[in-house]
Amino acid sequence: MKARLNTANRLIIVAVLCVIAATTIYPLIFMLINSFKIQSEYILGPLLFPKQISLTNYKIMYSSYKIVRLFNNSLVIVSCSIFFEIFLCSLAAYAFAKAKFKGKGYLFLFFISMMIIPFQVLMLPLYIMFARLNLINTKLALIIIYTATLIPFALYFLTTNFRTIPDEIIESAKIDGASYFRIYWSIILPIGRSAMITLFILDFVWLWNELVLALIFLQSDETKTITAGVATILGRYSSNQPLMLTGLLLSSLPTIIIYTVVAKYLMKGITVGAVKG
Amino acid sequence: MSTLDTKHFKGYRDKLNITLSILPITVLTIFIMVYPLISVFYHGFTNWNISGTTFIGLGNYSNLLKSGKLTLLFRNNLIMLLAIPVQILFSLLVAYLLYEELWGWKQFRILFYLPAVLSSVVIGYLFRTFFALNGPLNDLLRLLKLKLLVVNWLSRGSTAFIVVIIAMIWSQFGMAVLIFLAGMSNIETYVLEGAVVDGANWWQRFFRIVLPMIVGTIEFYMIVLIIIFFTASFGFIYSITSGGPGYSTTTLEYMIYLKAFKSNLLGQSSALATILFLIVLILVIFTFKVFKKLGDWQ
Repeated sequence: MKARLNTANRLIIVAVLCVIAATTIYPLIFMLINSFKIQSEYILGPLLFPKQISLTNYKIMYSSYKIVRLFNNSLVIVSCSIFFEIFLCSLAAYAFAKAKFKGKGYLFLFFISMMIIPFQVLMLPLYIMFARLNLINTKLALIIIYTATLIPFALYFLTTNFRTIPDEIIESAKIDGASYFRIYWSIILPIGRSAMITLFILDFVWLWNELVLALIFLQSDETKTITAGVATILGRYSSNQPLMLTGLLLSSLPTIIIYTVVAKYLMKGITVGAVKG
Repeated sequence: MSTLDTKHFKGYRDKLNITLSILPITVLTIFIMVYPLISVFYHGFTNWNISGTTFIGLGNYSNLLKSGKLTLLFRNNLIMLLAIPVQILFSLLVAYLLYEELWGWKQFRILFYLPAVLSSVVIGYLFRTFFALNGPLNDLLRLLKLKLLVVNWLSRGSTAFIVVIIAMIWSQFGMAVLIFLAGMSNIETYVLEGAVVDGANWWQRFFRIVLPMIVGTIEFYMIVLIIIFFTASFGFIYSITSGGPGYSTTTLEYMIYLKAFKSNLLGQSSALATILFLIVLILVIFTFKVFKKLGDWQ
């Protein structure tokens, strides 16, 4: 079936694919070229290349918009959440995959059924709860909530992965006198590493870009994440488009870089994990 | 899949260890997911503010109905759903083009997924900039002497919706392409080769063979998309239209936010949240039904 097409048709297909690819690449180029322009030059022609490169926007982002602090907040919140998520879920997934206890099936179903709750449903009661605990505008609040919302998928993902670890390895470790947690540390974690890396990448992109919860729980500029910061601070002053585009570009850099590095690896993972049918 | 036999991890110490392993996520899930869910159900029937609650039965629901808000929200959500056929057809065609495995298809696949790693805020603001009255798109249209098409995109509900929908499709289509490609990779090569021998052309192969053979994948992804359009539009609406003009692009999910954090109508917000949860629940149950049907069929 493949490549039964004549050259003309092949060229047409590749051309169509190129056009579509241009639409996904162009916005990045658009942000990049305009980030070097000042407002007056942008108005003259947003689609043109800058006549001279100006770093004004970057300087403003650094000095007035405290872009470093926003980055820092995002990094702390995202990495802490993912650390707790992977630590707690790998521990639980180990029990679900390799131990036997009463009510295991029901408990597992309970956790993965949480996947269907959209968090917009939960945000108001959570807000009231954290307001009573005086935790609004703290990174801790967001870390706790992010960790919890990541649990269902992570538990499901890691449990299915840990199940493929052969029982014989664990059995022989037991015979050698390894304790329950010793087996977790020296067998489960090393073998499950690639699953945990995949999880880390998916969750990093997801949390870095998360908006609703960050918007609600971090209202002061000091604690905002970069995504919420860009949404609110730049939204307020969006009449300066090149400055806004600079902010958008800077906020997307981490995920774009990670994606470029792991794209091939991720493609495999997504395709393998996808549906059968 | 082999679950381990009873020999393992019996005895008191291991029972303790197992409990210690599972307890943290159980506590977190109960406090952060289960309790708020129950709270939302309950408060949907109350007049709720920081100082306290009064039970008002179905008051919130009837208020939402009477004021016409609920109808408006459903209308807006239904308009959003119109994007789904467009999204599916477009992604299917792109997947079919990649399926030929022509020059550079692996690189194209990577490029098409790129928008999915950008945040909805970035995509939203980009689209807002692009579709602004004096933005690049209108400039381009003026340049091409297509003055008729130059409109103030974001000033009217209908065109603003188009911008939101295009932004969402653009951000999602890479994922759709990957899923459809995975579905197509399950088609046996000899089926298509036979069709070529029988003289079926490219379009015929697409409509008569590829499409029917991945109908299960399409069904599955369609329900995923419905859930996405019901629950993942917030960032796009927030950054492109803020729900306006008026409430013309406000969806159910965005209204939950507005009611709770802009107008302080916590009870009504809870009622809307309950409705959203029930819609998603029904869709998920429906998905499982589809899957079961597929299982029977295979």
